[in-house]
Amino acid sequence: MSEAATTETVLSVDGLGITYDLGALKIKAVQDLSLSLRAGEILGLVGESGSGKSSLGYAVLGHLGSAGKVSGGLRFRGEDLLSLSAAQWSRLRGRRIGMVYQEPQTALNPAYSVGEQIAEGLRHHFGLSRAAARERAVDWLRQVHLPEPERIYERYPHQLSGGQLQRAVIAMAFALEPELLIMDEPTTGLDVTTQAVILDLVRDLRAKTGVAMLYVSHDLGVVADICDRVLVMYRGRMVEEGEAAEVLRQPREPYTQRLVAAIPDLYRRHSFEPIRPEAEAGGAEILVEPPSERRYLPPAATERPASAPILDIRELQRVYRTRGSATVACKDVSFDVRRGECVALIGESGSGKSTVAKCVLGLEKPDGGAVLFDGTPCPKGVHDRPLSLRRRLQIVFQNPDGSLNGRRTVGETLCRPLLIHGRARSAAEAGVLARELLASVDLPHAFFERYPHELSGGQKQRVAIARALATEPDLIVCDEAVSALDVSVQGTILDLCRRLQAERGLAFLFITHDLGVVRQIADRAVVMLKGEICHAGGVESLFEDDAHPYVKALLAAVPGKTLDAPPQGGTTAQFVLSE
Amino acid sequence: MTKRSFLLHGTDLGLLIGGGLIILLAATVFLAPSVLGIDGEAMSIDAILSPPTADHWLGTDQLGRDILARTLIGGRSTLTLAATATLLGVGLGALIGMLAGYKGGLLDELLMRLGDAVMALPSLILAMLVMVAVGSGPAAILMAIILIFAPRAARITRSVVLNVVNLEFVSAASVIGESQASVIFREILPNIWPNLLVEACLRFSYAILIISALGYLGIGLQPPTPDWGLMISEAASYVTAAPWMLFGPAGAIVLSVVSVNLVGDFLQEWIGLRMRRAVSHV
Amino acid sequence: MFLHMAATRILWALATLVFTSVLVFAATQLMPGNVAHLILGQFASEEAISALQTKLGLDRPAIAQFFSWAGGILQGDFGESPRMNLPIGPILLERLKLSLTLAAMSLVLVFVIGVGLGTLAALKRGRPTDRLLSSLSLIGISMPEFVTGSVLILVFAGILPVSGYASPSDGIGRWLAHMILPVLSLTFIMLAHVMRTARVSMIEALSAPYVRTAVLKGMPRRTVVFKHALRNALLPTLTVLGINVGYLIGGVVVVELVFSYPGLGRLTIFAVQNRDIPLIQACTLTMAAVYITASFLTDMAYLILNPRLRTAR
Repeated sequence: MSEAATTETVLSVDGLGITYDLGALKIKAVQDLSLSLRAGEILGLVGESGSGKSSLGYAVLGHLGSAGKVSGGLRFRGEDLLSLSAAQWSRLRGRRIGMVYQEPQTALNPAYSVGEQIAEGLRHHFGLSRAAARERAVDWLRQVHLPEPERIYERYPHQLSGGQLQRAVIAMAFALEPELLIMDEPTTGLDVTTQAVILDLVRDLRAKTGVAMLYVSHDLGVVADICDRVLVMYRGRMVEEGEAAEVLRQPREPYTQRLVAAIPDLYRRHSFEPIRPEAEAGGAEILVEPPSERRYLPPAATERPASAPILDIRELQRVYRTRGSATVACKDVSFDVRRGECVALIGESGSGKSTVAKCVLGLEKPDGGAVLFDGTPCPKGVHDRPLSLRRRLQIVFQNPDGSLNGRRTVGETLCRPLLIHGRARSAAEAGVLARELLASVDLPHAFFERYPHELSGGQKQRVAIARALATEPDLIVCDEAVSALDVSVQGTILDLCRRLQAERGLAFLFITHDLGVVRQIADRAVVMLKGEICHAGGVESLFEDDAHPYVKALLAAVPGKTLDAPPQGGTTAQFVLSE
Repeated sequence: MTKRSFLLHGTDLGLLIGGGLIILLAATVFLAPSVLGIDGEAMSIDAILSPPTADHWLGTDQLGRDILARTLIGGRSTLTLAATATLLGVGLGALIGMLAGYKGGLLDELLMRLGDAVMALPSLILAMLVMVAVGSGPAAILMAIILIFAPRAARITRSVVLNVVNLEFVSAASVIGESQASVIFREILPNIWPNLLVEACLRFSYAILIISALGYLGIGLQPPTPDWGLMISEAASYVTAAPWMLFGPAGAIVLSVVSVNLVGDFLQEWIGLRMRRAVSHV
Repeated sequence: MFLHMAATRILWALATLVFTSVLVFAATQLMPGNVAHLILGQFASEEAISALQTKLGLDRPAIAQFFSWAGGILQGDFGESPRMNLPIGPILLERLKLSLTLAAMSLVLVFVIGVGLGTLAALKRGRPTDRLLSSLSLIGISMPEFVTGSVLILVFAGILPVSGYASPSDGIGRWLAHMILPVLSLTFIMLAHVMRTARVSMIEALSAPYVRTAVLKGMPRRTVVFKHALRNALLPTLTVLGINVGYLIGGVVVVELVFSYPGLGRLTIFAVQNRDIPLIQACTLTMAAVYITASFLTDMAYLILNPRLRTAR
């Protein structure tokens, strides 16, 4: 290899295969993958869960565990990574190839201060003295724009917010001056405004240091924002590769086209084509039929015929008291939801939106204010409410894994509400109705006998919706009901909600942090900031010039706007909530 | 899981051995004496402190009583007492723990503080105090062990309940209309009983140890009842002259506790699937 | 925050002590007979007994008796043992010192060896070393002290002293020789407990994401294991050690009886067997106080080692 080529190409992957050998089970995580990464370049590795994108990141660092087997070629600066000794690895790891992790809360050791965890690497790799390592670590904390770096140095991980921790982890990686950085979903789980700040930081540091990055993400928007090139993966194989802007604007392969089509559009409502119906039912092949054009739907009716509100929340207040301190979760929250209407309650973590949901359901007792359902005040606790009221108000939760009892079959879960509310008089009758419910959320009858762990995330969420429908409610509260799902699955669930709203006149209170989702589903929007409502109106009002500054900041922070329409104004930094 | 891996896994083997031993032990202890017409209190003048012979497989004691017979009969009272005490103690504790964990608030605080206060006494001292207050005998031992076990079981149950109670399916059950009792017994209990089973298993082996320790100290079951602990304390006086007196009861204690612990270990690993999957990064 | 928590723990320890003393007193009140019966014996006349009861204040209500008893203890007066005809305080102190020595030696040994072996087993997880240690620990937790002790006596009779106690002033060697077997008997069962906990906590720590971070930062294996993993694994181990102090106290009672070691445990058994009410009260309360103090110290150590509790958010 020529001198120029070795300095230019940082990482070259050639026909790479990764297999996990779990005794009886062999999983092919990555097959026949080839790519190359130049100095100073950011390559986005995009795929949905199970696509093998994270495995590649760990393979580059030689850390797949004893079950992981790598075949093919994997070279770093011309050096064969597959034949390194343990001693060679420990000189390479951190120092020349660094990593930034998903969930910074668990990536840092809870027993040591943040600064010490940066400094120990400096002492080890550069042989710095304690004082010098400390000084340089503080300097890096400053470079990632953490306020009062000397004080942050002494802080323990549990004392920092998610955004601050991720900056510390980024500082930890950059401090060792690596030539290649693996970014493993570094902004997943962070608020959009925090995410925007972190992405800015990563861009800056790249410009300063010229480091090459492998950016692993499931979020096409983020990848569009930060990467030079994109490689789309599906089930362990490369689907498409090219310049980021090009791939996302004009995807060549059907899978990529469908993936792009499934991103909730910030500016227009559209229908979602199911990306892989076979995949959900257990099949494995990529759909090859050409995708239909995005079908745009008429905008939501901002003004429905004035009907009486089904849900009326008045001056709701909830304060969390722990020994000696009180945190106001929500204060003076008043809004209503009319029959058959979908209202989005928007906010970032800590905004109090989930508290409002729990108070509506009676899962938490408000300290002040009232919840009126169909004109009647509701008792505070769910168990104090009459069954006739509980029947009419249902919820679908965020986490598909936690929302179903793992020790009951889907059928048992669906039959209970039918029997409790007397819709069915016998188990047999309930069984028939439950199968109808399954059909109404597009699940086959065979699922009646299944246990939750046999279902995918999207399927579990459909069962949760079916359970809510079982009582024939008037209003369903969806608490971040689609945010834990892959983008393609998310689209189909949103479609289902819209259909139920249209067919059954169901009202929805849709709690979310995702403005794209809001655009797709909501008629009206209520935005919460630090426990209070800062904006309320029709969905269109979010995009108007006189919207609240925080609303503008939220819009500005949405990644991937380059895909569709021109960016909006507004600054992000001043509203970063969690810091 | 395939049949092959089932047989090869160490802890599954432990379950087979442990479970088999427990069944064998219980069968011997409860059936053998009546089937074979063994008498634990019969003395024979011509076989005082006799080493193991064809007539007395484990030898005899200072009164010429057969050690094997006494070990078997002693096992009956120990195992029955230990099982009853464990069932009642852990059961009571589980009820308290579920109530405290689900209800929370003042009731929770009150129940747990009371339990903490009782647990502030070392268990053997607590048992001694009960013996002092109500006299020694099976009922007193039962009471003492329940008192020792219930607060611990309550604390463990509560902590497991707290892990479950905030899961979304519990909230969802309330929302679809389940009553509070249904939420506790239909939603929470099925998710925590494996943990209760592990606790009961560990406690059962501890109960055997406490009962024999009390016997050894001379404040548990009283002579001439054959009791493992009591037999060991009698053997201690003759340990150099007649060491075989020790082997019967000591072997019985160790064997029963080991087999219960083997089953307990299996259960623990079984519910902590996470541990089995935990992959070391080093 | 730290001071607040420490203060809460101290208050709680004191409250528990008060509760315990009530429990101890109540238990002895339930015993048939009282001190007057003990002093005068079973053939005394009714008149003599009631006269002595009046003199000793035993005819007063139980609450009044409790306060005069507790008041005496606060001034260091544990009363007089009717069986030994001696004031209890000095004997109690002497015996407590001997028992604490025994317990402390065992505890240190258990902690050091237990954590060491647990770490070793976790690092060699699933391999022969781990299997051997796990099997040994299974037998360990199944052998009560009086079984271990009796077997040790059987094996070492004639080689090491198997009963009694020698003061260090009679020669350190002699003293140590007398300590070896009792300490070993106590160590065995607790060692198994601590080792198992250390092993499980260490396995959990070694699979934690922060350990992966340290490995992928290129830190040497030594640093990863001892600095990053062990530090976190110590916390649960410490808790188990604290719980084991309660077990240790019971074990000390048994072991003192096995080896005729003149400590607090043997004194307690003497008191119970002779129904010596004031001595029972004094002994049990002292042991409870030792346990409460030990739990308090464990809690404090936990607070100091755990930055989550030490520092405010």
